[in-house]
Amino acid sequence: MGQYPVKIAHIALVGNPNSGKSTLFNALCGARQYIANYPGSTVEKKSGIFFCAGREILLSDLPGSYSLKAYSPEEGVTARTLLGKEADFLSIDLVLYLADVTTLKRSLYLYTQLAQLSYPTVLVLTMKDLAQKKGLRVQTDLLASRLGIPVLYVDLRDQEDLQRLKKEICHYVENPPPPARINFPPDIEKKLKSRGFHKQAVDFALFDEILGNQAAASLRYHIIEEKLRGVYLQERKESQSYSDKLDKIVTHPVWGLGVFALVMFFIFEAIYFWAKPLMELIEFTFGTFAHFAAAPLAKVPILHSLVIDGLIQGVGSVLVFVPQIVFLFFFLGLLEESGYLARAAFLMDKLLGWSGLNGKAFVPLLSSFACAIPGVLATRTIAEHRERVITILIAPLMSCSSRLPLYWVLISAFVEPFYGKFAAALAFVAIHALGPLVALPMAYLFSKSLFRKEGSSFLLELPDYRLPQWKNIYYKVKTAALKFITTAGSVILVFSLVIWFFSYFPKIKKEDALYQSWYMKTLKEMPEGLKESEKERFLAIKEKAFALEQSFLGRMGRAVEPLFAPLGFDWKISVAVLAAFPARELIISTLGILYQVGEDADEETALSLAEKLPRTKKEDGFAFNPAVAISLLVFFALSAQCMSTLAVVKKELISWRWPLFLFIYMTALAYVLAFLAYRLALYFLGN
Amino acid sequence: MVRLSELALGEKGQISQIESSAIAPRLMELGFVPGEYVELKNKAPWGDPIEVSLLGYRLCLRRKDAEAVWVNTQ
Repeated sequence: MGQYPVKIAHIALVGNPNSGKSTLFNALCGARQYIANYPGSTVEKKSGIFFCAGREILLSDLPGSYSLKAYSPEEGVTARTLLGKEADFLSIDLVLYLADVTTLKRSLYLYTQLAQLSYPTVLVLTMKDLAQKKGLRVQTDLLASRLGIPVLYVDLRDQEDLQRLKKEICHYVENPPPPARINFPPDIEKKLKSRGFHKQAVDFALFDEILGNQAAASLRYHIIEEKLRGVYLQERKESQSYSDKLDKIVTHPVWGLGVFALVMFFIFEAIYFWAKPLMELIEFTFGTFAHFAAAPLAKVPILHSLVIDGLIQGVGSVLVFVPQIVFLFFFLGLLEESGYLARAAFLMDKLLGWSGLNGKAFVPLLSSFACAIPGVLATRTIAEHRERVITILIAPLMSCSSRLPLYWVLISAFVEPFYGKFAAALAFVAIHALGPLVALPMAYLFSKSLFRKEGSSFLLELPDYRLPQWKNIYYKVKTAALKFITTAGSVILVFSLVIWFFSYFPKIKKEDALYQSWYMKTLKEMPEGLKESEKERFLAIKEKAFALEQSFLGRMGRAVEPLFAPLGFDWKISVAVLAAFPARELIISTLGILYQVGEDADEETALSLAEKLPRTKKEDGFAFNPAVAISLLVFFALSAQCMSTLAVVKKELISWRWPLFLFIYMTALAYVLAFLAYRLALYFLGN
Repeated sequence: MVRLSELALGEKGQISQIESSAIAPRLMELGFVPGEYVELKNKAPWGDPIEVSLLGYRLCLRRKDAEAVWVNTQ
């Protein structure tokens, strides 16, 4: 038997989107909330605990819905839960139905469906402050007697109202209100019964099918109208609300775009530049940590390499994304809470609509220019599964900040010296434009081929502008950051260790003939007149390159060289490209080792690489020429070289199918376009 | 009688009927039922989607979806 002498009381929050459910949920449960996914779905399951005079109450915040005839995965979860069909869901003792009082008629539509399920229900009318501003008065007692259930009227932003509400809720936990009920006219009831509609096993699709969609909706709205007669008084004529005034500019076809550009620029700036010092701080911390760990480990080279290059590097490469995720989710929360996010989607819908996406895809795509991980996480604001998947599939094509170092090296090596600063800037813009130019046609292809459903639609409520609720934003940011660290983090760490293994083993022993002959050859190459310390450094750099060349990774690089030859890559570039599959930034340090300029992914390495690459002569019949640089740029811009992104996609879409598809299509796309770019560059630039 | 998508900015009409379309059942549930009043509040850049108000709230929808809704402007 259960642990509790009495079954724990379970309350469900039900209501339309924007009805204030999250605010109430956060106010009641605070930090005692748990976010998971509904089994087999990507929908967030929010539950929490609060106390009524010492008694523990379980509160579930069901996803906001307009109808129990579910149209989106979120609505599906709410409908299944209320119909008792959701697995592992504790039976509901009390429903708190939240309704935005400023659009009460529409808000009660879902209530007329809920009322067919006979849960003990309390109706909570929210947005009292807005209603007062709009000159609305509500006779709650009259409404309560008409509906036969308790009706409360609150402003969820008001602490006193919240306290009063909590007291009332606790009262109704101990003294359950009567179940919500709805009566249809006798002729309708008769018709429903004759066509096999059961009141005990309600099927809303069947309900609408029997009556006809329009008649069913009209019937429900007619019943609501009767219940609301005399309840809802417009005391004075509504003056133009501040939302309307703001929208004159914010959603204006011309000014609106200007405001939009400013807002997006600001957010992009924040993710791109403001997060940078924090990211550097994290890198510095891990660098220092590695430095201190190095000394005691120096005696055991393999442990040294495992801890420094594998573990610390791996954990660091997970945590370094956290500042960007926090910044992005803070601003996303701000936009969502204030009501602007819906406006941004409204403005952008046409621009993205032709490709099968909708306006809400804009923010995730923009965020992906900083980093695809927060971008993929941000697609949670897209309710339609199909559009969310397509947005996730194209988000990593946007050029993220970890591609920048290689762009910088190649452009300063091959563009700036020959064509000047202006051309270099142009090249930066061009390589950043490549992503969206390729992504939208890909989205179009995906929406036509991967999903069978015809056409997409875009229905979005524009809520009134409101001051953001900091508490709601705080929990959103916290959830996103923790989810990233715990779930994506473990996968990234594993792959970091795998790539470390491949680049470390097999180790060539000093007694080995291969090592001996390399050592003799290198000694001969050593320039004359070096000091002892310089000799040591020269040997160390050469040895690191030799070890990498002999490792599994190096051998794989040589093995795949023929595969990359059509793109103009030699074995060194092939190794670097392979090494960068877990994380793009690794390409710089690997090239640094192979071109023997240094071993760290720091500015010095990048600088020396930029100087060294154009000077590679036709050693082994290969020269790093501008055509190769262009080919590598295109490949690097489009390929899926980021294990973190793939791990996050897996977590978000709970299937390995999508990240696998993402990886294959992006790599293929990168290969084909890099090949074309290489051939074109050879034709126009020559060797 | 005109389609909702053909209303002028700021023009108000009473819904007379909804043609059947993929999205029509959803629109009805959101309050697009005969007899309700709906006003065209705004158009996005390039004229699409549009923003309408009804039942005290505002909704944006694409023109092609709005075509299903017929309104009387008198």
